[in-house]
Amino acid sequence: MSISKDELVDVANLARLGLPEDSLDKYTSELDSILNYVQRLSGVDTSNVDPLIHSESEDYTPLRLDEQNNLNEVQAFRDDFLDNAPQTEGHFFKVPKIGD
Amino acid sequence: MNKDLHLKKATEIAELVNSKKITATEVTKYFLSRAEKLNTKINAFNFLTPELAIEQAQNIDKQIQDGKTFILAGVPIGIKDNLNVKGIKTTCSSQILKNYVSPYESTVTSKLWEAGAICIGKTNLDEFAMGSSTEHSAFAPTKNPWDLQTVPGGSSGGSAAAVASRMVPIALGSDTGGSIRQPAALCGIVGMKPTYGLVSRYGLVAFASSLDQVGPLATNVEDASLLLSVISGHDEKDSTSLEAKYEHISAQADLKGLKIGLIREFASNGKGINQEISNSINSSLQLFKELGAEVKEVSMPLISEHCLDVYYVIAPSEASSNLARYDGVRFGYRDTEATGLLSMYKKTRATGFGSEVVRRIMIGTYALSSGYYDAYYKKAQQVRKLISDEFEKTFKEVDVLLTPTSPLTAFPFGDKLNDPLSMYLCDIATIPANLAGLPAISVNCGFDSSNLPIGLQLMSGQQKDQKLLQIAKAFEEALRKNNSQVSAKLPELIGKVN
Repeated sequence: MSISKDELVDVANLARLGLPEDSLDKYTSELDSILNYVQRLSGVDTSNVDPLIHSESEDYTPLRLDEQNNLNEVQAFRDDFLDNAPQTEGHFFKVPKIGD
Repeated sequence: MNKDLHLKKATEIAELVNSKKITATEVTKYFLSRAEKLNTKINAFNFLTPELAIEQAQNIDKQIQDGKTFILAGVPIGIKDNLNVKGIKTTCSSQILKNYVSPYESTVTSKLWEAGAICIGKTNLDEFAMGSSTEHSAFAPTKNPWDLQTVPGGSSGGSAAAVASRMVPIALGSDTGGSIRQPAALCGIVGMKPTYGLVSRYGLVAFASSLDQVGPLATNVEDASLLLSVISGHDEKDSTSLEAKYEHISAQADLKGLKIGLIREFASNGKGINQEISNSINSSLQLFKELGAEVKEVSMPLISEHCLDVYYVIAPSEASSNLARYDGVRFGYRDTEATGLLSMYKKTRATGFGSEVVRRIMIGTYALSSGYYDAYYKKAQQVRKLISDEFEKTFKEVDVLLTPTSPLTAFPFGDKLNDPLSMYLCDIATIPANLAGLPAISVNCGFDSSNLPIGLQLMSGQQKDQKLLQIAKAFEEALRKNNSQVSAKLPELIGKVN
């Protein structure tokens, strides 16, 4: 077993996923088989191999000027963003109370 | 005059519009009406955008009257529904973004509108581009135009089915592990993943940032090339985009002396590759040889043995981080039952995401968690380095690599839905190019005995996109001359509208 039901519940908590009780066995068994499969990686000798984070050259760092945006555009943009929010108050996102 | 507009290439449509033989508005109305009728059967589009399309077309017509011309004048396009088009919904085929309206425009789509293209609608996908069949769409699956009982592949299944049924001549997709090429193969069209960084991802909803790339789907190589030439180039809003621009190909490559590497492990029934697909790939190799190419068998054991392991650690890890933003606070769905913040997060995410997205977030969170990071994430990135080295070494011996795009042709709905690992195996030949950031293209090379399309994949070294498309065009042309029955074949249902 790569992952137990208790570990799955811990991982779900870390991921902020409130999985229904009746789905836990199914997810445990699916994750277990996927994790078992990817464990084949442990058979590859990677001593002295640097990790490849992405495929671009490491010294590629494009730069741009740090210019101030037009304030009117930013305000219009802000309103469009707030329109997508589930709940707002003034120019703020509103959330339920912190701590249950 | 309009009768067979859907059989024309994008290049031909642009030419007709630029030369004022037809207006962009006429073209748009023709394709909108076609898409409305066909979409009820195929469900390639999550929704059509007729108002935007007509507005864009009228604007293009006005400018053409004033003497302007456009590369994609009046060419209708389908946009995968994980790319932002301002003022239009971007759902990612997920409940969590069902009502999200894009407050800004993706760089790729703004380039398309400047080039005269017309937005016909947003195409269906596996939720957040995670899947190989479009069955993981939270709304409804897309059907394969060649056989409505089978899947179109995924995750860009909507874009592939829309092009294959000629609802649009071209479409945009995104490819993280094969999501453009595999559906292109299953739907019998051309799909290409460019070199990592060649196309801006500003406005693409992030899945796995070290792998994601936007690319073209088209009925032919020339249109794919033209579309890529429009969307490529450095973008200061995406610092991973390269200082490189793709130039449209003017001619096909001369294949004489071209060295093609056939990956031994993916040939002759290896890796669960269906026999009919192997046979079709062998006939294609014969055709390459007749045109003067040399075929050399190469062995790539790491790529064939470990690409899936590496991918199913790296992609979910990056996804678990990227998808943390869907928490019911700033946008998207919120569960309103919850009384506290923590329970709001948990309920929102558990009900907003579908099962495949949940699985991947869980795998990624596990692989990145304390105590497991080195064994999974770091290990996967080390093997990724070895895979990239294996490619580099092989490209010293050959110019391009050839494999089947997919080990299977289109499969029936439900076939792999309850076995995530068997679904993951669909991408065994496409994932390697994403891990190493290489350009790769799928072109149709034949049909199986059930009349389902077979795709051939070509991969080349980084930033050799132009050469790759020239080679693909030469193959396409040779197939047309050699076996016109194959290259002229179209899904039956496409003739039944208009």
